[in-house]
Formats: sequence, C-alpha cells, structure tokens
Amino acid sequence: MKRYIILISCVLTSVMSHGQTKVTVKGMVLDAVTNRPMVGVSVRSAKTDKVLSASGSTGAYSVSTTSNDDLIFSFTGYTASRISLTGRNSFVINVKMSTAQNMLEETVVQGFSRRSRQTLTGSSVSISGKDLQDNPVANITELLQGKVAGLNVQMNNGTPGTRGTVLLRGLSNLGTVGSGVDTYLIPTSPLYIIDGVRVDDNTNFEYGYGGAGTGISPLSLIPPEDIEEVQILKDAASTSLYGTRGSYGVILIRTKRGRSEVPRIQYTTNQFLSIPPNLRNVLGGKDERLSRINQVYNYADSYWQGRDDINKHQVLTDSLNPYFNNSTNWQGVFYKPTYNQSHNISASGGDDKFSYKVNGNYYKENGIVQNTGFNRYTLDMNTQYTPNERLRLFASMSGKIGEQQLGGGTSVSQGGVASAATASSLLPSPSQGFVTSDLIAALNGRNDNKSTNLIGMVELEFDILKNFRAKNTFSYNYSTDRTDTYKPAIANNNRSSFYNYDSQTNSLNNMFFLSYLKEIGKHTFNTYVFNELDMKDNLRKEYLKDGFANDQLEGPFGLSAAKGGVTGVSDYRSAGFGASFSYNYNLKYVVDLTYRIDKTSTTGAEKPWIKNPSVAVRWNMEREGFMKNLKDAGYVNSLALRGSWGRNITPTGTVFDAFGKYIYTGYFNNNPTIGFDWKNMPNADLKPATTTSMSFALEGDFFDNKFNTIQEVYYKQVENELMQIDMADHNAFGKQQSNDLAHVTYGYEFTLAYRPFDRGSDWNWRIELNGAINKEALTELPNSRRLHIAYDEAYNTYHQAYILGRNPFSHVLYDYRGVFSTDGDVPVNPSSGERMKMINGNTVYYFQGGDPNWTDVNGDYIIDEKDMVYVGNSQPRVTGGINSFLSYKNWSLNMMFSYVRGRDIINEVLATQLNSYFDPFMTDKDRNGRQNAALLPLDRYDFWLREGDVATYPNPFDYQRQGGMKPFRPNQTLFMEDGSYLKFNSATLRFSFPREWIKRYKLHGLNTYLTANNIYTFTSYKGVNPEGVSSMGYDRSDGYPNRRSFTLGISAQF
Amino acid sequence: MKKFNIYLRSSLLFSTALCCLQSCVKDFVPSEKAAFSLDMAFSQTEFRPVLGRNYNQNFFNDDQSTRPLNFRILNVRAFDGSEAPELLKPFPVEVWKKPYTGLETSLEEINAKREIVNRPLWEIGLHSGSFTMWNVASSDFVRVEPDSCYLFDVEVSNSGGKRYFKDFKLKPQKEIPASAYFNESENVVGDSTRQPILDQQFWLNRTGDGSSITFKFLDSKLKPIKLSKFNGMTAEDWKYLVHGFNPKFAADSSSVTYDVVYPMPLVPTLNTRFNEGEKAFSTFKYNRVAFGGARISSTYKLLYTIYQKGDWEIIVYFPTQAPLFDND
Repeated sequence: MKRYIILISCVLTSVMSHGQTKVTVKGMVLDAVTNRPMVGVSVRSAKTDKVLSASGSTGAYSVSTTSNDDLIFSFTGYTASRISLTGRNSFVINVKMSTAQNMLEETVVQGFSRRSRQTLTGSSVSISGKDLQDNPVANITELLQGKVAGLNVQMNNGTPGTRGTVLLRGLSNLGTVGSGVDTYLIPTSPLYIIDGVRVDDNTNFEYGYGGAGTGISPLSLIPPEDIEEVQILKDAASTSLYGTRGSYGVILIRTKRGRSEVPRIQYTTNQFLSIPPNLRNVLGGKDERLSRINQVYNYADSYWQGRDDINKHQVLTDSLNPYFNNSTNWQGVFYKPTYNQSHNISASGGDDKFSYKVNGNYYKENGIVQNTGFNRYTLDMNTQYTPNERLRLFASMSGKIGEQQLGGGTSVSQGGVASAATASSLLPSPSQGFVTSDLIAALNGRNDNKSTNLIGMVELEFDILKNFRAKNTFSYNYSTDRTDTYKPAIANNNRSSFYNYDSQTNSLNNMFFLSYLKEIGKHTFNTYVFNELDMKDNLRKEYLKDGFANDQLEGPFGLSAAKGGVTGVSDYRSAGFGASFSYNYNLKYVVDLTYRIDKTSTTGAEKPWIKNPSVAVRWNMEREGFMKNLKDAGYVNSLALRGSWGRNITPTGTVFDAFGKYIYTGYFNNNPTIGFDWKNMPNADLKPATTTSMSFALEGDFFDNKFNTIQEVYYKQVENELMQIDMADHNAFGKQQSNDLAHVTYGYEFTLAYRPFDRGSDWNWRIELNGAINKEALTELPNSRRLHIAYDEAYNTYHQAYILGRNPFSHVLYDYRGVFSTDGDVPVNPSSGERMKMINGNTVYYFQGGDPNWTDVNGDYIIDEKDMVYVGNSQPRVTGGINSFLSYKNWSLNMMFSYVRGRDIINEVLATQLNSYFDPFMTDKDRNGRQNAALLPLDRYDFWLREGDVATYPNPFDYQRQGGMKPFRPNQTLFMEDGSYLKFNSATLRFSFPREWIKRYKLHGLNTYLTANNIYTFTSYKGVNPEGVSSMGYDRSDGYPNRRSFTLGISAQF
Repeated sequence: MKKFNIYLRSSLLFSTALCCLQSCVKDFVPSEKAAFSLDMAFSQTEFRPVLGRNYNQNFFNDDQSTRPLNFRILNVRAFDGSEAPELLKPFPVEVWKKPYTGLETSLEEINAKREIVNRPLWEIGLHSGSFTMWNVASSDFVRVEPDSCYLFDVEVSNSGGKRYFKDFKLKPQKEIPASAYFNESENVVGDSTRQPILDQQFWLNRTGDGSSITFKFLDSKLKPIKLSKFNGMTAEDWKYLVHGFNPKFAADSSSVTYDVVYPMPLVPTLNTRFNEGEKAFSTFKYNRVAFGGARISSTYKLLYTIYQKGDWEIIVYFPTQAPLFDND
C-alpha cells in the first residue's frame, strides 16, 4: 500500500540525460489534507544523505542534484516522502505530504533523547501544538484534559490564572496541607520542561498551602499559540533520568521554531465571551417572604408565639417598605459575563543553517466574579545556528508577566463574594454601609498578584568525533512573585490595611552530555552519560501596614511604620550524574538501561547518594517472520510489546524536618534569645520518598493504520512518604515528621483511535477514546497502625481516614439511613427509656419524626463522633477523554470530551442550601440576612414535611431545633454523591480560506474559527459542577465557578 | 485462520500478562482489615455501682480502632476465685420498649411501654463498652463492700484483633433505697414567729410492698396539717403533683396517696414536669392575705429520689412551728 500520493504535473523542459547529469528539481510541497503549501519541509538527497534545501514560504522548493538520485521530503509529524528521479524526464515535482497517522513514525522523547516510536521502550505520549490552539485559556493544562490516558486533569477551580490538579497515574504523594474543608493535596504536578528549562508548577506550595504566595501557576505564563508540541512522559523508564524531580512524571513543551526562508508573520486573535455557568436556584421576593412566614407559623411553639415573633421582625411584615420590598438577584450582582481578548503575533524565519522566532502574546481575561481577572504579557524568542554539520547552537530567551486580580478571595476560594451572593433577596442591592465588610473588600479592595519570569537558555552541541557528540545545556530562570492587597477602612473595622508580599527565585541548571552512537550491521548501540547541576534560591519578604489617614492615601510607609521583614529564605542545590545505554537489534528487539545518582541539599547527612535505576525492553513483533503475511495484507501494520521497571526518588520534607529549627524566643536579660523549636522533633533518619514503577504495554496499528491502540498496565509503589505524627504527651516535642507512609497505585490505560476514511479523501475523521482505570491502596501507616484519622482541627467537620489496604483517603461521615418517618420510629434506649439522642454542648436533642436517621454504630443510643464511618474515595477511579477531529476540504470540526467515573464527593453546597431555612427571621447578628439567607426552592427535593412522610431529606423547616440538631451537617453520607461526569470540553469549527481567495490581499494563510469551551457537563451530581470540587472531594460553597466561553478567532499569516 | 491465530496469540499473551500483574498486585497490597489499636484502654479498672438502681457508665477509649468493636465480660468470679453465678444468671429486669415522655396518663400506659426481659446483672454494652448493673441486683445475694467482692475480665475484639483486659474489680455498694433533699420553699413563714421556717424534717418511710406514694404534713405536735390548707392547689396541680394517678385524699384531708411506678423519677436523664434530672419534685401551693391586704403566694417544693419499689410515705414534720396559712 502506498502511503503517499505523488502528483506529477508535466510542465517543462527536460534534458534527456543519462547517468550523473546535474538536474534542477522544482515544485511545490502541499499538505495532502488541506492542500496548503508547507513551509520548511526539508529536502534531502538519499545518495549523499545531505539536506539540500527546504521549501520556502510559498511551499516552493528548488534543489540541484544528480538525475539518478532519490529525494526525501520530511517534516515533523508528517510521513516522509521518497521520490526517485531516475528515469524521469520532467523535474517539476509537486509533493503532497500527509500527516503521520502511523504512530510508529512519530518521534517521542524518552529520557533525554528523541527517538522514533518504534524504539520507544517507555511510556510517552505526544500532543501536537495544533490541538492546543483555537481555544483561549489562561492555563494550558485545561487543554490537556482528556487528551492523554492516565493524565488526570481536574479544573477544580475557575480562578483565571491558577492551576488545576494534574495527576499522572494516580496519586504520587499523599501529602496534604490544611485541615477540614481547606485540606488540599500538596500538588504533585509533573515536572514541566519548556524548551529545556525546568518549570516547577508546585513552587508556590513549597512552604505550605494557604501561606503567602501569588497563586499564579507558572504554566499560565505560556502562550498556547506558541506551542509546537507537548510530550508526556509517564513511566519510570522515561522519567528516571530526570532524577529526583521526575517522580511525578515529566511534561516537555516545545515552542515553535523558525522554518521558513521568507520571514513569516503570523497574527492570531481570540475574542471571547466568558459567561458564568448555571448558578443556584433561589426563592425571590414575595415567595421568600411568604415561605418564611409560613415556616414560623408551622414551627413556632404555638400559633400566638409565631404571630408574635413575626410581628417583631419588620423584614417579614413590612412588605411595603422599599428597603425590604425587593427581589434582588444577588448572584447576578457578583457573577457577570465578561468580554475578553487575546492577541498573539509571531515572526519567524530561517533555514537549516540559521533560524529565528519571536513571539509576543497578550491575553486578558476578566473573571466572571467581579474584580478578578488575569492578564498575560509574554515575549519569547529563540534562534538556532548550525554553521556546519558538527556544530549546533540553540538559544532562547523569554520574558513573561502574569497579573492576577483576586478581589477579596484567594486563588482557590471567593469566600466574601460567595457568602454575599447568598444574601436574602428581600434586601436591596448593594450599597456601602449595608453589605458585609467581606464584600466591600471583594468589590472595592485590591488583591493584585504579579509574577514575572525571565528565562534564558543556551544549548551547544558539537561532534567531537564521528558518532561521538557532546552537548551542553545551560538555563537560567529568574522569577518574582508579588502580592499587593489593600483593604479599605470600611471593610476592615475602620482601619485600612495594606499588605505586600515579594518573593524572588533564581534557578540555574546546567547539563552536560556525551553521547555515542554505533551501528554494527543490524546492531545499534546508543549510549550517553551526563551530569546535571541545579541551584535554586529563594527569598521572601512580607510587609504589613495599617491605619492610613483615608482610603485615597496609602502611606506613609517606612521601616518603623510597619510590620514586616524576611519571612522565608531557601537555598537548594543538587547534583546528578547519569548514564543511559540503549541497544536494538534490527529495530526488532530494543533494550534500555539507565542509571542516575543524585545528591541534594535536602537529604539528611546520614543518607548517601540517591540512586535511580531503570530497565526497559521492547519487542516489535511485526518485524518477525510469522507476522509477514498479516503485514503484507495490511491487517497489522505494527504490533509491539514493551515493558519497563524503574525507580524515582524524591526528597520529602524540609531541611528543618530533618535537623530541627532554632527560633527567636523573646528577650532575656535585655538580649534577644534563640532557642530550640519544640513543636517538631527532628528526624535525622528522614528518608526520601521512593517511587518504584513497572509498566507493561501492547501497542499496535491495524488495518492500514486506520486503527491504533495502546493498552498498558502499570504498578507504582511509593514508599517513605511523609506524615506528621503526634508524640506521646510526656515528650518535650509535640510532633514529628514520620517516614512510614506508603501506598501503591496500579491500573490500566487504554487509547483507541480510529480513522474511517482513506487517506487522500476530502474527508478526514479521527476519533480517539482514551481512559485510565486507577486503583490505589494504602500499604503502610506510622506506628504499624491500620487506621489513622487526621482530625479537622479547624472546623471539626471533615476528618480524613487513612485505612491500610483501602484507597488512601476515606471520608469520615455519619451514616445516613433516611428520615425518621414518625416519632415512634426512633429507637429507644431500653435501660433509660429515652429516644436516641444527640448532645450538643449542654443541650440534649431527642430524635423525632423528620430528623435524620444516622446509624448508631456503637449502640449507645447517642449519636456522636464515635458513630462516624469511613467511606468513599475522594479520588477518581476512571478518567479519560474522547477526541474527535473531522475535516472536509477547508472545514474542520474538533470536539473534546473528558470523563470521570467513580468519585465520591461531598456536596457541601447542597448541605448549606438545605440549611438555609434555619433562621426565618434573619436575626443571626453576624449576618442579618446578608449571608446564607437565600432560600433554596424545595420543590425539586423530596423532604419530610409531616408525621408519616417517607422522604429522602430531613425536615428543613424546624428552625427551633435546627441549630443544635444540624440535620444538614455536610459530613454525612447523605451528601456524599457520585461525582462521575462526562464533560463536553470544547468544540471548534474552523475554516481555512482557500489560497485563491486571499492571494490578492497578500496573505499567505487565513483561518477563522468559532470555539465553545466548557460546553456542558452530563452528570447525575446534584450540585453545580462535579469537577469544581477540591482535590479532597469537597464541593466548597465558596469556590470559584468555572466559566463557559465562546470564542471568535482569526489567524492570519503574512 | 492464520491471522486469527495471531490475534488470538497476542491477545492471549496480553491478557495473561494483565492477569499476572493484577494478581501480583493483590499480593503486594495488604488486605483491608479492621484496625485494632493496642493502645485502647479503659480509663477505670475498678467499678463501684450502687445496688438497687440502674448503673450505666462508659470508660472506654478505642484509640482509633475500627468501630464497631465487640465487648464481652468473661471470668466473672469472686475475689477469692470462687464462682459468682449471681452475676451471670439472667434476672428478669424491666426495660423500656417505647420512650417515656412524662405525658403518660395512666399506669397502664406507662407499663405498656415497659417489658420484662432476662438479663445478667452485670453487663457490658455489646458495641459501646459501657458497663451496666441492673436495678434488680440486691445486696441480699450480691456481695457488697466492705467485702472485696468480684473480679472479671473483658474481651474486646473486632475482625482485626482481640484483646483481653484482666482482673477488673467490681465492688458493688449497698443500696440506698431513697434520698430526700432539702426542700425549696418560697414565702413560707411560721405561724408563731412569722419568719421563714428554718426547722423542718423530711421523712421517707417505706410502709409496704405496693407501689404508691403518700404525702403528709405534720405540725409540731405531730398532728397532721390538713391538705385543704394548701388553698393554692388547683385540681390540675393535684393531678400533676407526682407522675402518679388516682389521687386518694384521706377522709380528714390529712394525706394524699397516688398510684405510681418506681423508680422515681422514672427516667433521670429526661427532664419532665415531675423532675429535675435525678430529683423528682412535688410542689404544694397556698396563699393568704397578709398584713396590709396584700395576697401572698407561697410554695413548698419537695425534692426526693426513690429507687426501691414500695408504698412510700413522704412526711414533712415541722418540729417547732407550722407554716402560717391564715389571713392576717
């Protein structure tokens, strides 16, 4: 079967010649699908194996060679075309290049080397930059969702510019910070390497979540338009060479390069409208008032008491007073559609000797929550110089600025706005002096965050001898993060306050490689050694000043006027040495061995070098004789088995966990003293976390490459994870960081791709389904325990249970079994004659009809913390996506879906809303109806109303007992819901203008597209969005909703 | 056929590998078992229940073990090692099957809420670990202090483990059938001094094995004070004097007797109109026109607890002077 189509158009001249006559070959190189000229396709002589030229800006090429030569046209991501000149008499040859549908011909990265998929022993996936464009987002991780089997991206927070949760192959580390609803997994995002420069997306979490920091993800500073390719390295065989920081997987991002001899200018703009998703339903105006009055009549102690109470509260009776006679849509006040834009301009050019690219990007997104948003300004350039075949120099520089406005919230929550949006609809829309101070801070305050990033990188490659190559990569990254917050006096107890946070990080990385490639017959040996040096230092300062003369004047500042100083200093060094050996026999059997040793400044003095070995093998079965018939018939194009084993080691904990800490302990004899910090006992034996992983895969292309699949199973074991344990109370120290936490993750990943149309047809359709089934189990706990409960010290609501043999995090909940239909259904304590009870403070609440029926686990007829059960799994069990790309001539339609199956999330939003009837008079003095007072319309819910009702939800109206009984406490199984969903991420309809139409405008290419993003989520979850929950599965009632956006984009090439 | 073979072969190979890996993993991952902490403890190892009343206390701390845990009392024995069948043998005890509310309107209604079941006297809650001594235990056949009494062991288990707590001491205390507390009175003045009465006595006498309660007031000459003098008592006040029924006034109005159920209060943890916690109370009211024509209301409130069933007589004796009931 021919894989490419060659069109020969006879036009011109020919010198009938024989033998080695010099000829000039000319023609056009076109994309087989879009028929557009291709720029930068390299034309190589097969005979001399030299690159002769590359196609120019119009797709034209012209080379001079001998008439018996073969020309090879190649371009990344396309199938190479080989054209024989022998016997031709016309040397005008137009070539159509088709995209490499055969996955084997893709090139992918394993360790530090780029190789063809045929020799890949590890698990890597490549995504073309084209798939990540046409959809403006602040953070590119949003676009990776559902693209790669095993890469679990959850956009659990809609704040523009922040990060989602990215987990590669399940949980990599069980570390958490915060407690209760504020518990977050310490992010274990993969290591991102952008053009050879390491970018750590976990940076701002270094000193604990919720501490100082801007919350801007460094990935938000990358313009998606400038991405050429993203590679995801999943298993240890691919990542172990990255040493300590490769444990969570590695994502390589390659930006675009200059390719065209004629300079090219490309301009892309996206004009997009962000609209808030469906918000909550609430009762408004008269409905709210009548509902409140009715509730009081029914549940007051007596009719007359109720009447009296109603008359005492003006908000219920004075319906003619304009202050109370409203139906304000509070959510509409705070959540609004916004109009946004982005512009990207790039200039590039060059040939195989010298090329350059400059890319400038501007992105502005106003958040759907008032006073929030994200802006990005970037300027990137790179250049490559190849004076001769032996020397190559690549340099890149980029400057990026990200600005984020957070209003009154943090990068994960918008507490002020969320609570103010639940004000009673009876109150008039906001005006100063009426709304809560939180809200004024949110709307009038300032919380500006700014991250700047300066990156420089130089790569020099040199052939010392034949097949013996040296390469040095040096990169430097300087970043600053700054937060400025200002709270006006009215929002802060009549005392305006200013806070500033400033952090500077320098990191420097140098890698030196020596590689050697040798082919002896069918045996190919490829080996390299390298060393890597890494340095990183960080300094953070904070500054706080309050009590300014007025809100217009911020100042005066000065050393003596304010509190502040250096709040964090760190200095990190690491050195690594590694070697890789790769062998293949005739591309049939491939073996890879790698080894890396590391030493870092955070490992304890007791611990020697960290060793990271890996072994991987591959067997390309289609090259075996027994497959020949199938292969020739086109049934099987390739079929390979591969497997790998490897180990990655990550230092955990801080230097203080290992060595203890001296702190300032006040004055003694008029001198400041330094004393030991007794909070944490040093653990000199602190070991780094060890990740051992294995994977085994089957890859195949079938039926003329129309059907591709990768099936992979993996097992990952993480040991020596950090967990804080309490010391016995007779110790001087309070806590210690223990090393005895371990878990395993194992699972199955699949990718199935199908392309129904033949190549060369006007129609092209590729549909891909991928997914990962992930299982996790806790295998070790400190002190040889089988159960550990992490108590919610802040709110005493959400405890976390760690249970050996079970998924790592279980919810600790009251077991809800329904509603007591009548008083008689409540169990009676036979020895005391009391009904089942609950004690809150000093008050006893006896259960009655309409109350929740919680399981009394220990059988003492008292519902308390001892009756909580350990259930659920806050981590998704199955994740994946469906991608479809359909094109017909100049039209294309790209659709993306992603899904999650099996995740237990806590619907705290519903719990809070059902609880909204707890205060019909709005007398709670801190709130006065300004918070948690919007009433949930109950007609959609099956709740208990009168004696004998069999219902799903308890009685929401009994306001006299609700405060003590807490029937809608969020930590019960009633609110643990299945968070499975299928999300229609995006759809892009794109039109490429035919060349004839735009030629007269001197345009080289013009595309326009319409994109809808975050279109719809199919779910049975009763909350707003099953994805917008924290990494521990809590649907916070104060989260930032994910926006929906519609984009009109234009991309023009000059 | 041949290509089928290949498919078959490769998929077979793959699925075998898959199964292999799955089963390997199963071996690596510990099976989930109930947690059983060895640091679990009872905060007390000596128990001194007072006989004649229900004793129910929990001293157990499970230290993060998986609930429910199962508790069992073992080896109940006398201190000298001899057998103690009295604590093991099931006795008929009265338990509740419907909740007591304090609103019951007849003896039958209360009794219908209770039933007799057979329980050993000294028990531990199957899952809660709380100890119970039933009120039918009596010093007639149970050893009480100052004897060294009993020893016993407790077995705690769940599917993850089992632990024995040995040689717990059980030292029952002799019964206290009833207690009277100081009364609370308002505006009760003596008929001779016209000052608040300081000197009064409160007697609880068990006069028979029935189930009734009688109230009587005696003046300094041990002559009964007529209950009709309590002119502030309405018919309803008499009805709700105690949670009893069929009040029977003596012909000379010297006493009133109710049919009741014991113990009194019936449910000490539930506050009703008849008790404050473990104290039952009965309130007598009267009023008189005082000097200057002002009407003064007076109340006399008796507080008491009675554990043992019987015909109880509550007598208030004023040794020096009786309350002043007459108008000025």
